[in-house]
Amino acid sequence: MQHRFRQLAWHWLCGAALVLVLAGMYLPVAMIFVYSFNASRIGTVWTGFSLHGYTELWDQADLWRALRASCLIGCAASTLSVVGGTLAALGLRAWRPRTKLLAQGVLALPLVMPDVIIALSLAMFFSALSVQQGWGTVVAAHCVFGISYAFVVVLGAVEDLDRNLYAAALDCGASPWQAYGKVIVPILMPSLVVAWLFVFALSFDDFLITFLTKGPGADTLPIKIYSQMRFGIKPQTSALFVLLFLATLAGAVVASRIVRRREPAV
Amino acid sequence: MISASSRWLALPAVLYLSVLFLGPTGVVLAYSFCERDIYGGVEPRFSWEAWRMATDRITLSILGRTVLLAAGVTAANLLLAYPSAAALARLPRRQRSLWVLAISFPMITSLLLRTYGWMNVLPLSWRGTLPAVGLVLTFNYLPFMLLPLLKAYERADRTLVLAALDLGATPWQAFWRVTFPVTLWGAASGAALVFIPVSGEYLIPHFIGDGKVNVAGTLVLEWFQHRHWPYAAACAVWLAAVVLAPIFAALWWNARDLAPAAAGPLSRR
Repeated sequence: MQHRFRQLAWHWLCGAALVLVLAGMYLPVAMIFVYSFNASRIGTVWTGFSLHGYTELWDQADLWRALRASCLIGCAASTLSVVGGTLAALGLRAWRPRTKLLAQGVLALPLVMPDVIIALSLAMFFSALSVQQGWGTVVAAHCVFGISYAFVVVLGAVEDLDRNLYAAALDCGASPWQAYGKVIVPILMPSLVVAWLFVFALSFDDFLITFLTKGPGADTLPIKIYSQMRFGIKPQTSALFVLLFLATLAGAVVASRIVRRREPAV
Repeated sequence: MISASSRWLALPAVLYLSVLFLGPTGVVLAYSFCERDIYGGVEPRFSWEAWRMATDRITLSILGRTVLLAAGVTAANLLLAYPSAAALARLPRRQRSLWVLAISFPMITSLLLRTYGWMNVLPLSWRGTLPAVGLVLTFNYLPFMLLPLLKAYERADRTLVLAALDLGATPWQAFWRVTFPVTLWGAASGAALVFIPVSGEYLIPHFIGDGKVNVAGTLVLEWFQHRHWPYAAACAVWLAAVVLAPIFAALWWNARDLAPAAAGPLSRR
């Protein structure tokens, strides 16, 4: 009897921890939702319910400019990173074990470096070479962590590839380009998509590395929010992120539906 | 067979990171031994000044606080993630993946805005305290601990625990003597995924700490902005040593046991 009771208490404890985790994850998100309906022009105190965070969203030219910058930089960085990381994962299979291990170390090292070190070192590097900082340096900086993540995500899929596929394609008369384009890339596609979305999300939310490599030009959304933090986030900014959150949620639901519908066929 | 010509494919990425990761790391090391230029940048003259500053009591106590904070957050994450993973592991597959998605979904919203949310939730008297910074960091990095741990749970043989319970073990004994040893690699990779970024965290200590909680991340950024680049560089080198030392020590200590742990988050399964 006592045994059974102990087990029940244990289950209860585990469930309580899970609920606590969920609450801790959603509490700050709930606050963003709440503050998007704040009547105050600046968000530090709650002054009442209002929709002007949403109705005046269109007039916030600087917010939209920042969103555009974030999207462009994210697209450029993740596309370059996924291409570079995938080619690296494919090419490294033909390297000798010793050099391969070394190269893998170089490719994965940015993952074990805190952002602040990557940001500082890149800022000093660009300054040492007197590179003009702007959009280009931000994209280049995002590719540093982007290539690492893309490489690591794609590596598993590349290692699972049947090594005879490429040779078989060549035997059947495909050119090397066709072999990659029509056989290898379609098989890798799911991991490529995951890697791309992952790097995009990281780039989209990156503050530190952008902050130290952006120069005067490329103000992304996190930079914009950072400048509002001290004096209160505007309700429009919160409203934009509520919409982004809901759009991503809808996208995730639709994507999972599509994947599930396709699965039985495979 | 893989054709030998395909080895060139790897070259762009490897070269890119050699230049834009190893290069900058070298610059930071070099700058930490240079003289300060008050207009930003450095004077290209050798000097010990930055390292003399970086080994004084204040810097060392900030580094100590950083390690303490990162270790505390990692421990808090273990305490929360273990029972959560246990609860999730009992659910059927479909439900479990839905829960995992639900728990990690807030991560896609801006870290800055979530931090702002916390600033408005926490009582005013907590602002600027180390425990408050630790609390926010804990929830911010929880998915990084939970996911590898859950993977370890999924791979572990659940019948072992049931057998232990049948043979009269208390739930705690079953956990400590059976579950914990077989999920240790998941906990180790989760710990690495939490400890590393937390020790370099800037935004959360800066805003939740309200300028009163100095850790390595805020130290590096502040001195970079105060245009004392050699000192900022020396602090960054310290931080890198603090982060990498436990990882290399662990690898050195028990290469065979920890190799799958270190590769855990990196490999697909």
